[in-house]
Amino acid sequence: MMTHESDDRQLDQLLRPHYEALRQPNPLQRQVVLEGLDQTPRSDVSAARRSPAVRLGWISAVAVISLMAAAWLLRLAPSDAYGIEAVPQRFHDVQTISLRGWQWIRDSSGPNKPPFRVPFEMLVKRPAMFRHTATGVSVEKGRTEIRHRLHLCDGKHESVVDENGKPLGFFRSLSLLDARLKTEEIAQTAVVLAVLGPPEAAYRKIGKDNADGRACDLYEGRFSTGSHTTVAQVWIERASGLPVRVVRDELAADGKLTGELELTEISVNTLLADDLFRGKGQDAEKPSSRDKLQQGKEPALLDATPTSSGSSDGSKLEAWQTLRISDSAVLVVWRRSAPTPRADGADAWLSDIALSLPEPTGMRPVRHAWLSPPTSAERWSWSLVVPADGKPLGRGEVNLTLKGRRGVTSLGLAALRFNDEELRQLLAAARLSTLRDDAPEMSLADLRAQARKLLESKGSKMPTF
Amino acid sequence: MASDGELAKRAAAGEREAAGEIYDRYAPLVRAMLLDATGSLPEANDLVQEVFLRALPRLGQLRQPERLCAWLIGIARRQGTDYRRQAGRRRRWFAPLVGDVAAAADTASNDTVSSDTASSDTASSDTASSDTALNDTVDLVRQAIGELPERERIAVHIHYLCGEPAEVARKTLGLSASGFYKLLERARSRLRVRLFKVEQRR
Repeated sequence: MMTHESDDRQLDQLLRPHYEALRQPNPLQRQVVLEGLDQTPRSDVSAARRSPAVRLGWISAVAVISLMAAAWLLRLAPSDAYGIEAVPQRFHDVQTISLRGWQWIRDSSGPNKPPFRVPFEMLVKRPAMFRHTATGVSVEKGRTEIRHRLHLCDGKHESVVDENGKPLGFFRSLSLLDARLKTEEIAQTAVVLAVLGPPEAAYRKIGKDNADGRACDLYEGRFSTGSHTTVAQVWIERASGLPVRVVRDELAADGKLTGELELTEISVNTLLADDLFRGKGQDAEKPSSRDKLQQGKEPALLDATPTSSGSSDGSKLEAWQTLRISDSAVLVVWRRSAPTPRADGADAWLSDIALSLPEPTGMRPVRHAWLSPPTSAERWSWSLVVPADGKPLGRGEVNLTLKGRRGVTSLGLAALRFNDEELRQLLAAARLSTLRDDAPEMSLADLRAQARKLLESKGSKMPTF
Repeated sequence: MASDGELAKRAAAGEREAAGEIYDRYAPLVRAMLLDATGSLPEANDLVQEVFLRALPRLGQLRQPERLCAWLIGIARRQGTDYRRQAGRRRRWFAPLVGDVAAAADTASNDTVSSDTASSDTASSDTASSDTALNDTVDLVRQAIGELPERERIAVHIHYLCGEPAEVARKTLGLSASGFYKLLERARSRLRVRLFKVEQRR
């Protein structure tokens, strides 16, 4: 009997957290449901039941009208876009991604100049190839010059070429692991940003539509880029759950919309030839003259150059990479200019630092633990970051902010997702590239164990500013 | 506390507070049903919204308003079936990317990626990540509940999520209070075996 009771208690202990998660109120959804009710005609057949003879006629007439009205109103009734949240995961599961369309670039050579429309292309072929447009703008003597560039990676080399594929100044050899990391940066950061905008973008389903003959749910989102508000529309194909079209406009204060980005082709798992990812004359098998120049210099397993940086008023903040260690923990490799020395050692390096997870509803607080504390402004340090609410990361972008004396530097760092085997390889290589030789080894299991401890701790949350 | 029948009538007459109360009372149960169907909480949340957007405007059609909960469960069940059908299409869509690349390539159309670049890493990563997921207690619990026969599963959901479980079970499962607790005990025994066996193995 005692055993049975203790089993029962144990079972309750296991089941309750599962059901607590299901009980969590969702005020936004509640509001959407009730708003939807306000805008949808209620169907009440109780009156028609009085007379069976009249009933049939009324039912058919009312049903047709109600169905038409309900269909029309439901088409217009806004609802929250939970489905759109799964888009990054869906992009994560595919082998190739192709985005093509147009981008509008402001002409700053004078007032009221119309923006330039330039082609936009972003291609990813996993595991380690990418290609994307990079458009440069310069104004000289009142004239605007547009330079079209392509940033390429064929799994072995990274290069920048002109629109005809002719190599420009930048070319270097990469290890396969580095090429893989950079490819995922494009796939998980740039592609998702081009399609959905930043993680703060709040989307609502506004209706249904066809795009290229495909039945889609149409979502609308808004987000601020600091200088202006962007209004984005995303068509998500119902059959695949993937976006098929994106139209993004800049919203002026007078309500006027100006084109910003239009993705007319979004496809996944289409065949992309390897040649698309190489410059003209570059051969995958034969070493190029540039390779020969680099002979004897084996590319580093991972390039430790910062991928994100900013400075303000003499203070500097840089990040190398952010990796998703589990569903609710990320590793951030970062460094900052030296803080004012204080007695509390490593914690001084967190002074004036804010960390959070940006979401449409605001900044989600996090907890922080040093994995490898900083020793100088030149050295990278490793931080473990978990959501303070203990729930999954969501889109998983980390906002890292340094408050200077007169300004703030903020970096949005997308936490890249890899499978466990790749993550182990990346952690081992990142330790060699970014930490001191005497830094202790940290296995993925160690990091996850520390993350669990941090999640369970009642320690203080990081400021979010 | 207002009865289900009373709430359904008031909501059908356009009383917004009553509709809100129905949502508060049954959204967790509907979410649990949809989590069983989808295996994903975000997807389940999305579908909860669809269920209530579909159900609330039609409350006037409800012949037995006191059977509100059973009616909502029925709509949630249909929504879950629709989801699985869509998910099947999605799996076909992503077939070359997960699982057996070579087999998938046979069925993939010409313009999809075949076996040349699809690495074995992808397949092994899925195995690795599902192993990792199995180590997570929450996933284990979710999986164990999902493996219960449907009536037992609903009984467990009702027990943990509804204010008056025996009363809700009477209306939804057509069981007396003692019948409900017998069914619940059967479900809990299965869960004990499933979860404690796994717990001991870990």
